Amino acid sequence: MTHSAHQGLDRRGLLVGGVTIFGGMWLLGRGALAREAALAREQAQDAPPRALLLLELSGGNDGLSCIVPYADDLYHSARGRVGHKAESVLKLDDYRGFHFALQGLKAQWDEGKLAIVEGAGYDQPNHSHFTSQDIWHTARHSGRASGDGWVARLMAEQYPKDREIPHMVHVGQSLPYSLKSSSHAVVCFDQPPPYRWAENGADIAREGGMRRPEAGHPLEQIRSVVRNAQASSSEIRRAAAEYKPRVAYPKHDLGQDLQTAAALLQSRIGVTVMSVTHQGYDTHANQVYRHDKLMSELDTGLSAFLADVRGTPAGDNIAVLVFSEFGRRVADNASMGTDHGTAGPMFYLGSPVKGGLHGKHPSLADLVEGDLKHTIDFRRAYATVLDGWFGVKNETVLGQRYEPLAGVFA
Amino acid sequence: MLAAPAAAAGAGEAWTAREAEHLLNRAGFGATQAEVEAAVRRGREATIAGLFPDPARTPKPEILGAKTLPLGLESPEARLRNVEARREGYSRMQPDLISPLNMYGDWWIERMRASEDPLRERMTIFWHGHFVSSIKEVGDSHEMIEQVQFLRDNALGRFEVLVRGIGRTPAMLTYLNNNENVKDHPNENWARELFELFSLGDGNYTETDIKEAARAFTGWSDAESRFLFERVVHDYGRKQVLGRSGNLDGDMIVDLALEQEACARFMAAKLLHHLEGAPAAQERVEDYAAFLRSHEMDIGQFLRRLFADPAFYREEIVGRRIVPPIEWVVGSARKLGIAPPGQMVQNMGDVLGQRLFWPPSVKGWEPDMAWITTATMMYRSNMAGILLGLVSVDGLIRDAEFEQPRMDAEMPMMGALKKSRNNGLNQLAYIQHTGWQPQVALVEQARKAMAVGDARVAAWMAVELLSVEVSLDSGVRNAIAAFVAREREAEGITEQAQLLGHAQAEAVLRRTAHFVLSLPEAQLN
Repeated sequence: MTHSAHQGLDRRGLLVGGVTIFGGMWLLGRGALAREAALAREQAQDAPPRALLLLELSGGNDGLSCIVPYADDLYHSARGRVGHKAESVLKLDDYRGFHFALQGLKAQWDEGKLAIVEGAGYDQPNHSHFTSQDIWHTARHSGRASGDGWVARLMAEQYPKDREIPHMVHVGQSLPYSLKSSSHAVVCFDQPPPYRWAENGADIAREGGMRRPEAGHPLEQIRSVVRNAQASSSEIRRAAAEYKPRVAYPKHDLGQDLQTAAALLQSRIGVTVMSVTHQGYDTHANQVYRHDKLMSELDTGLSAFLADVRGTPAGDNIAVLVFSEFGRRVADNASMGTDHGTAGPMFYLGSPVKGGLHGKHPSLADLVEGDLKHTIDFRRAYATVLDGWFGVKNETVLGQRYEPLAGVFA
Repeated sequence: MLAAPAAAAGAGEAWTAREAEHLLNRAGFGATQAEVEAAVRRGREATIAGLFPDPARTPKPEILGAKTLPLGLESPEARLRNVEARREGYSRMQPDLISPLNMYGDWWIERMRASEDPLRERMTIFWHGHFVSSIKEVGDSHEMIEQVQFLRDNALGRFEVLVRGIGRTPAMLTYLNNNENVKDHPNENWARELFELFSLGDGNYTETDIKEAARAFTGWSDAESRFLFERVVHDYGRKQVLGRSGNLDGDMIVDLALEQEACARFMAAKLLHHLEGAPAAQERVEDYAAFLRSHEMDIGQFLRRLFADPAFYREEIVGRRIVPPIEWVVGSARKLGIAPPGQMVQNMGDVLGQRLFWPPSVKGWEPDMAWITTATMMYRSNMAGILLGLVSVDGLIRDAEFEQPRMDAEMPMMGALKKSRNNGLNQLAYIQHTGWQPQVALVEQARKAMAVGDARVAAWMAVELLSVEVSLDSGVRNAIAAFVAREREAEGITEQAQLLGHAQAEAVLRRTAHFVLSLPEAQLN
């Protein structure tokens, strides 16, 4: 950097304060005032608002290696290469057991704080990652053609007016479709410190977020993203930097993302749904090593998160929902892996959750083209969160009514 | 300059700066004004013809010298070490570990920035995001280079050559595990993606088709980075795929896929979407699918037809496409007249969501608004600031506003970000630490353009850095002019006309360029 550029930067540093005050108001206009008011209302409430951490296991988690039907001979004969021996699993009852790395989840189960939905799936299962993810993200078989993501619909239902507050936050490089909203602010970033304009930010945000072109023009969407970026940058960096976790999080990416999630969920900046993705579940080959590592990361990450947030007012208001776009084929393949399958388990965790088994373990004897038949529609698991946790009539979000599971939220 | 003569236009269609720039933007990397003017003078037909130079003139990358390729560029252990090291983000600490793949990436970026064959590079990126493999799974620089080179060589040729050959590249055989697909308990990974993502699209085959096709591909394997058919593990039994039955083998499955009506439709839709920046209407897809079928699925002919099609210049698509990251960084560098190191461009692509050789999934990169998040909008601005020498990456990584500056024991050089996904920013910090500075000369360019006075500086900057459609917008021009005026006055330059002669002129113009490249308008072309 040149000497003159340095001088320029110093001078700018002096200018920015004044520009921001003026720019901020111009930038956000009525939206800013409404936003401040809504945030103030939220922060004035005694009880922190109910929140959800949505954790996606991306690539198709092998449910049979996660909750292992260790007492089923059909399991052992189908999984000669990648199966888990009965003696290695952490037994849950006389049929099923946790993957040996899921020690933390087993402890949650023993405490009665883990609810498992077995055999979650949907009719006419699609074996494409992308089509199936779209179905899970929209809660509709028609996928993206049906409109916004299910979380976005939930936010539209819960906060019909407060559209500017970042109620939905994803930690990661690309936004999952579940949070895709045509009306409400959504925030997406990978790591808090660099989540900002390094120079000229006030000018860029003011000019970039301000003028409105005709409806439907991509510029309009970009401008809205610029406004959300400007409105969320400071709050998110501050919340993450000032956060003092009560436990040490593991160093892997999922652990770091969950620490960020814990920071934001407890910061009272309006975050209602936090989304985090755990990548790498598409284990067509060399599954044993890969899936064991994933289970270990999942367990250490989630255990740290739960230990960290439990007992704080905001932390006790966080429900965790874990899902994956599909399970995997019952029979393993010759490359020590498994191909795309259908039904799999989902998990609820967190202080508000009452432990238990829901649904039914799919039969290993009654398969469709080598795949499990799902025993429960995954939208019933969503409905449970919608009705039981957020108090929203699930049909308004899911398009039709699904029967919630009983007793997940006390 | 925008009122270009329409004399060279063919078939009664307009050929002005708008059309010329649109074509050059969609077929290359960020057209400069000089290039647009030259294209207007040359006329439409000659400009289109110029996009297809004799491929024999394209030099092979030096890194593919015959001496090194057959045995691989590194020993297997060194290869693994390099991949692991780069994955963990440590290569910046040890320049000797920077692998051949990075060097190839540098060569590729240079081809994008300055070659006479930019359309081939554009389409190579397209195919890299279509016939996906990632170094993360492949783990072998040499095999990745060979695959991308295969895509480049055939980027403008017949689709059949691509789809038939890609399954034999060792990178693909590894990435989708077909090298482990054997008669007993086949692995379906490649067979599924061949149909779903590479040729037909979801809904145009059954689950049984996939299972049976996987059997046909058993034995397609590799050894010593070469395709190898392993007869002993091939399933010679009878299969039924896409309505045909018999002792089908892998090549016959490819034939069957190519014969499907859905194949041309799927590829026409994807190509149109990619080049036009929005999904095409069904009629348009059918029209181009029929063209593909009657022209041996020839991609070059498809592109020539599209570029000459008046509908390609329609209002709804010109200047309305979100520019993908690599194209945006290369295009910005070209417009600014600078040649950043290829490694820097690759890292910027990574930060903005498009890391070459590391597509995020087998589906490649998601286009359009998926590129734009709250973070990437800020990062695009920050990347432009780095290109212009205005933004310090260390300053960006260390959040001085909220965090105490700290020296990190593990990363003594800087407060590097820890997550593996933050490799790009850490690498950029390293490049700045090596003393890299941009060779920007905006004052000189402004003088040539006779941009005297705030309004003319703004107009010049808008025309140079934005696409024609938005550069004419008076709102944008006024905003830029107001920015210039404020920056100028802050430097104590009271007379507009004195700006270019002032010692701080370059700094003012750079800050203005940074502002312009950060605008929503600059993300479109």
